[in-house]
Amino acid sequence: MSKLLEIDQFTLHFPGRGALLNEVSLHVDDGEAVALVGESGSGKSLTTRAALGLFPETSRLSGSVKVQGLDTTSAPAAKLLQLRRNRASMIFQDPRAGINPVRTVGDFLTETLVRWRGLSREESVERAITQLEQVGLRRTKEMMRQYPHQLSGGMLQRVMIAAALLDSPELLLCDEPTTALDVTTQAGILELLREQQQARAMGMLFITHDLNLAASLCDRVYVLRKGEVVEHGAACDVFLSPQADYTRQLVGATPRIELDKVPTAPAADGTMPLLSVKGLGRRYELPGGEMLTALNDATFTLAPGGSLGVVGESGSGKSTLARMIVALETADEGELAINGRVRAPRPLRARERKLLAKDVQIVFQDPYLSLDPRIAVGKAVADVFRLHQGQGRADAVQSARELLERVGIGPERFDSKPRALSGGQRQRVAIAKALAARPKLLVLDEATSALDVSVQAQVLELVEEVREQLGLTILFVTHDLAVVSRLCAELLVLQQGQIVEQGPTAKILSAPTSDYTRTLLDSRPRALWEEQPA
Amino acid sequence: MTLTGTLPLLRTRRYGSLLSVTGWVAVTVTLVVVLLSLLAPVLAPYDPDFVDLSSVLGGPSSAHLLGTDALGRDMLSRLMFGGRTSLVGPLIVVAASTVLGLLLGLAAGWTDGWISRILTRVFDLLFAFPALLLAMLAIAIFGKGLMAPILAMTISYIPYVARLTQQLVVAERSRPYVQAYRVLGFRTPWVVLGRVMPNLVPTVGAQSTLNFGYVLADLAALSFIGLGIQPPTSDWGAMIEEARGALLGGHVLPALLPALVVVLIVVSINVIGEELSDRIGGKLS
Repeated sequence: MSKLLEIDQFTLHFPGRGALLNEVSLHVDDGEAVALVGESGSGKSLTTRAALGLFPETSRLSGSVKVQGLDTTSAPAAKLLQLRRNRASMIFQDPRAGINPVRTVGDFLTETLVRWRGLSREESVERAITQLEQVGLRRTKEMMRQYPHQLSGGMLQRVMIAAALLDSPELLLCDEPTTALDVTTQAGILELLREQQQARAMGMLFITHDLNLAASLCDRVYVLRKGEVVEHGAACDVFLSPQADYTRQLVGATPRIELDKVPTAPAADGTMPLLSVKGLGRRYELPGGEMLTALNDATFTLAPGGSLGVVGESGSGKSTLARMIVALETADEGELAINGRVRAPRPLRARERKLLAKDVQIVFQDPYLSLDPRIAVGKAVADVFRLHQGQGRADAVQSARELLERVGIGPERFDSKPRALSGGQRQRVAIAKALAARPKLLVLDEATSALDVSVQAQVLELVEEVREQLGLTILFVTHDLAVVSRLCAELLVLQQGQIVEQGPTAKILSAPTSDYTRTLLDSRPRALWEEQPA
Repeated sequence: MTLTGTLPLLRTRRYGSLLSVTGWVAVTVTLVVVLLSLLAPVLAPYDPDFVDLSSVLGGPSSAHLLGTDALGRDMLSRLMFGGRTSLVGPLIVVAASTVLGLLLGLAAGWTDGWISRILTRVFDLLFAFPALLLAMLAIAIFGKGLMAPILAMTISYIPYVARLTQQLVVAERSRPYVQAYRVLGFRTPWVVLGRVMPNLVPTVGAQSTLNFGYVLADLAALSFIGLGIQPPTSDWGAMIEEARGALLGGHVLPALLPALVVVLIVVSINVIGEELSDRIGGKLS
């Protein structure tokens, strides 16, 4: 019996960049769920696309990629088209990028049925509606008439899954289908994929950078690194007793909640809190005049040297809170005081901003956007030293060198532009830039969520290190409970602008009092061999 | 291991060259025309204003490579000298409108209050005036010559630069790197002029390159209808106008040659401008 998907010694050469995939061999049997795990640049998306016969232009191929015996590296275009129409479907990371924003969900779903399957309009509408119901959507008749922007990301991803399933594919390719979604939404989508894959006995190749996800969904795993399969086998073997160094490193770097490793807060000694927030609120006016409460009545304090994790999903108000603390936004109500200085309820003046800069700094999520593309990293850091430490050019350059060295950027990188650095290196530079102002409080706004797991682990280590060495106070905004459990002694959980729970991290994680925190904890992907929550 | 994966712009053109083959041809054409004009006093075979009534409307010959006009003046020399006036006008207009447009666009894009609103309305108003009409108005006020049209053209091309700059600045303002500067306590003028503006220059420069072609054509048109450069100064637009009589008499070259040069240089510069803005536009998005 020929395998559903069989990739044999597949090599993909791209002129000027060498072998992007090097002798990759993997297979997916009928009805089997297989994960392909790797970090960015490992070639996992290229591998998946190869299964559909999509290769980058001007690339050279060798080896074979067979779907039910059809070799996509050499098959004629007509055969490939047939393959994509009838036998294989793909789901992408960003559902919004894959759907035409000016056409309704109904148009999107019925188009292929009418054009390729020759179904009548009524029949296709009926099939589309059945399919939408199957993927767990409600009010499907109305949804057929809705436009993509009227649906949430999670609903839209369900629509995309419905579209992929309409063709009754035998092979479903999933390229990080939940990475853009919230944890609780992700849990639902994973459940749906698992259910559909089993009910239809589909073969599934699931691409992810997240080991936990792979373990929660798939029986077998391939680990890909720089275009080469470094390890493969049954999921529990690979994760519980990894053989390759890289896999071991990856497993080690994958954040998980370990209650005994949660830091504890220093005993309260009655000193004045560094950050004190009282009844803080922020509302936005939506187009149409409706008001959206981004943050409502937030009250908490953070002692000097403390570490507070602010956890919530998208729309929880966690970023709004971070932006108000660094005065990128002005609160509508309530009081915010840092280092004893009460914030004026208006946009800050230049002098006030400069003063504030020495109290609090922020590191943003995406290091590709948060550095000025034109300015060499050494100069970027030196500029801050000149502004805040009153240093001359030579002194500032010297200080910048030392600080960059300290965060792991060697002197040979001093004159590099940001684009020459990797994501992890850029985030180190962003941290150095913030530290150059010698702030007391460092706000990290999802500062590691755009990074690969292994890089994330290193950056977290760096944050921990500078926190201890410099006695920094940390406020870490994130969606990831595991990251927080490692770094923060205290925890604050936000849901739709409300603080639903706050207290010591260890206590909240072991015995959450709010339903929402419990949902967040339960939504974390769990390996198939572990006990599933009741 | 650089980050080509995250920078698709590096692969948009196959060989990573800044311009396509067509683009390089356009650059070559432009350079040749500019050089010939610049070096006209050295290279031109004749005095452009030397009237030789014995060889009126002569075709191309070894003495006159491109023939002579209705007054027996050497066409090649006139074209070369004509380039000096025809190119310098657009150059001034483009330089002035770029600088002013950049500054006004930054002001309109960075602020939210009344300054921004007023400037935006002013740009709208200026957009409503055709450049040529404004130029004629200026000529009516200040008289014929080069200065009045240049002034008018500068004003009418400012909004093109300013509007583009404004849009770019509004986008740039909310980028994390700009917000990082704010949180770090850097003063706004330093951030705007020292850090944000240089990031916009390539895109705005591409737009200005495009403008150069349009301005050149507009100024040539003004000369053609007799409102721009005045005889006997040689100018491509004026040359076409002067050759109208000869054209009716069946002599095509004296009108065709300057027209051809105008088309050639405008097309070349537009090709360069388009390719640059394609390249840079892709990079910014």
